[in-house]
Amino acid sequence: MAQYVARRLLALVPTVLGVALLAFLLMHLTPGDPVQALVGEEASDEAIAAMRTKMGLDRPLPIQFGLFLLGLAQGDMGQSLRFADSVSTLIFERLPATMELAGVALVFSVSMAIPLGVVAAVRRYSLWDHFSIFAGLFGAAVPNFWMGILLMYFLGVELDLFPLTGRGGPLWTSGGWHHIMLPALTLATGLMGSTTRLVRDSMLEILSMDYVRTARAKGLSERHVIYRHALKNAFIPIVTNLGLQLGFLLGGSVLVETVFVWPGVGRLAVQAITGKDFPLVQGVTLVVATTFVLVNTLVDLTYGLLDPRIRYA
Amino acid sequence: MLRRIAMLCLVTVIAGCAGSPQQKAPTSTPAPASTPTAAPKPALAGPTPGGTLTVALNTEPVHLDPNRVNDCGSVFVHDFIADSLVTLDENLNPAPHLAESWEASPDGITWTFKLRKDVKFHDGSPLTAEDVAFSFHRILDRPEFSAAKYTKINMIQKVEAVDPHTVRVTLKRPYSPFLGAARQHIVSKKAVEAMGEDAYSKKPIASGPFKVQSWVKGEGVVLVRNEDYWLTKAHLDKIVVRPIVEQTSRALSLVAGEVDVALELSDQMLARVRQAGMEVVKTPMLNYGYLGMRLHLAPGNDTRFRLMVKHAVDWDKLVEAVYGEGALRAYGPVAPGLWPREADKWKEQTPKYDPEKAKQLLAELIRDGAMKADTEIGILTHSGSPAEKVAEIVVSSLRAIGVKANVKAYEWAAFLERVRGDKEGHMYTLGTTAALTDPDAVFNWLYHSKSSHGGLMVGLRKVDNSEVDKLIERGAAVLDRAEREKIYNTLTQKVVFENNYHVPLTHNVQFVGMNPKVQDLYDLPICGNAYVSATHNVWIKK
Repeated sequence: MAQYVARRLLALVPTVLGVALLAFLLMHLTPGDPVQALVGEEASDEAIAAMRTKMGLDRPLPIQFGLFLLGLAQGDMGQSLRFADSVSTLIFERLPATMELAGVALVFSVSMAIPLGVVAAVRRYSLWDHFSIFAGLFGAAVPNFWMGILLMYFLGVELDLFPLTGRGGPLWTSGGWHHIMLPALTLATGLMGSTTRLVRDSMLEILSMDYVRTARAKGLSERHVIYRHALKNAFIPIVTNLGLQLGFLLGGSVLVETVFVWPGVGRLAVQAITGKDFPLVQGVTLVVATTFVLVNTLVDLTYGLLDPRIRYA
Repeated sequence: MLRRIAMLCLVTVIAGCAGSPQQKAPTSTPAPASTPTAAPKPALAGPTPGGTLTVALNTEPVHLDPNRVNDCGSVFVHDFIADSLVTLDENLNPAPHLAESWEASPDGITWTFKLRKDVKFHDGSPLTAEDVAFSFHRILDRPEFSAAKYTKINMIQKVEAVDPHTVRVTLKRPYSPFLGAARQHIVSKKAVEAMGEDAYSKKPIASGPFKVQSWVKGEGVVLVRNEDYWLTKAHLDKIVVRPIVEQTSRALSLVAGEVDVALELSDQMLARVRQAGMEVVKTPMLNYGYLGMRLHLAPGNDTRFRLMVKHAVDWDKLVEAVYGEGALRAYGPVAPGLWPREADKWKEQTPKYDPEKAKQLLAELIRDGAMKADTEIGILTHSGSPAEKVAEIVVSSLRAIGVKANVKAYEWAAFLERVRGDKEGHMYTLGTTAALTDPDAVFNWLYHSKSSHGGLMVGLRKVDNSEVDKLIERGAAVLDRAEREKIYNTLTQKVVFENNYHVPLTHNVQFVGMNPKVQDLYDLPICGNAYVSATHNVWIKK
């Protein structure tokens, strides 16, 4: 197991370097001058030239990338062109907010999706089944920024239940919990769709297996059969899906963060891309890629807990 | 199982409907059917001190160092925490501020400013001429420090402290709009040198009516009153500046009472905001939107082509359709509030919508070989902006008279790169906001061949623009206002009506939504704010 984990972590290095190189090339190859985007169209040629030299953007691309890697080896992801602040500081200031939102949204999504999916599978073709399919499609089809504005209007403005924007503090404060409700519910509605469907399909497959029939024949209660025998075995694809969803969420939910003014990594990434802030784009890409790989490594490790037949060489 | 789920849902809804500690926004009530009989409330005695004002911006402040950046979100905050050498009065003319008086030498090269003696920074240290010289030279000595601000003051040779309260500024050439350029924030030299630029940028020490309490990036800036402000003590205890970029979120935050003031409301949300009992203030901005012609790319180099475009489109209807209440129709480059404006005359002179005339001009151009029947005319525009809709309508109108045309829409950085190049696009959509409240800021940027706009975008470096260049340079050098007005009126005639460099389109309007409890709030038609000034001091009615 330890060897497996070590191998996976070592594989992280070339993956992340490859992502960094791709992000670097894409940013430099897309049209548009980052200095012009930064200083505005009215800046003089002299000022633009001075800015370009200061940012090191007049150097050849391989040297720029080499300097970035050298800095990365020393834990320095460079300075943001737009914010004139360290890239690491900017990203890690916002990461807790993104992690909170991702975590709470996932918990909400799972809390709704698993019971709904289980009921839909157990009572196939019933009203609950149809409702779960509809809920799943609705969640997947409705754009989350539109859902966010709807929830903001009805739950925030009309019913005055929750604050509309901002973070309000860390999650362990009452302000933090109050503020996270609307953005987390918005995200959860979107995530719930695919998870509900997956739970339903996975459960239907498990419930048709021989050992489940045997368990029923032995006289076990239906609840015992579903929750102790069927659901646990149905979890592997669900956990994979949740791992992928968490990975994407930790990259920042741009639209939801923008609508709810949630100070997360997603909004920062968009500001970096539209402002052609190369160091910040590279930094965000690296952090997101690393997080994604780590999360999926953890997901792979949980398979062994769920299915004792799985062992790691 | 199902019963448990249903009960859980029911309990959640009931618990939720119990309400939360949120401030309910005032809602409008229907007008009474008859005259109310209750006695009217007594008039307010005057401003009530105290309270916190929360302002929602449409953009995020990038940097709190007042000398560093020029974006509107940052400048809005800078105006609270720092003072400038001169300010603007309500007619947008330069007025005393940190400098209580000034005089220019007869040749316009040397300006001497006398500073107030009673100004202190937030840390209690006095503001002197050394700080003024330091603030200007931070920008002048390193163009890369603040490229946007450098461009605005690079006519300055040097700034010297003659004595603790006298500043001498030497220019490279006479420049009559200089007082507008002198409107730069002054920072504490001692604080910058002691703290270092990075630390200073997070908690700047200056002399403004408020000081920075905290800045959480992505969430907002909290400012607290400067108790020792030299001009007038602010009524408010605190100001919270929150960036809410999404326009619907910004409007709903105002409706829900989470913010007291919301800038840049979209016209689609005005009805909802008014319905909630909020006030809406409409301010024409010093902004000029236009369809620019690229004179260095044929057939744009033929004035008949440019006139043809003017006749081919119903511009009044176009502005109405695209911008609605959000903009005024422009007939020249000088926005309301700036000078010199001859708006009625320009409107009369503007070529009328006349597709038949446009077709005639097109036939002439083809007959004379200036363009071919299948020449494809491209309009460069910024994708996702209202200007893209302008480009689409222009293309559609050109096609209606037989011109092959298409829209070339790009994201902002790519658009700028292309419009500064000379490979594509016969026309482009763009806007500009006057950097200084002086006509030179508009004309120099738009029409001088040395500016990157005039020179590269309009292509004036590749055509003979010497007459226009000379007029612009003369307008900036002459000190007499009446003479300057004549020069700029002549320029408008030349560039807009004789040579058709542009099709003037819009002067934007800003809608600011306010909770009715907010009093004495003055909205500037440019970036920044004048919430606490010689003539205004915002307060909250309790």
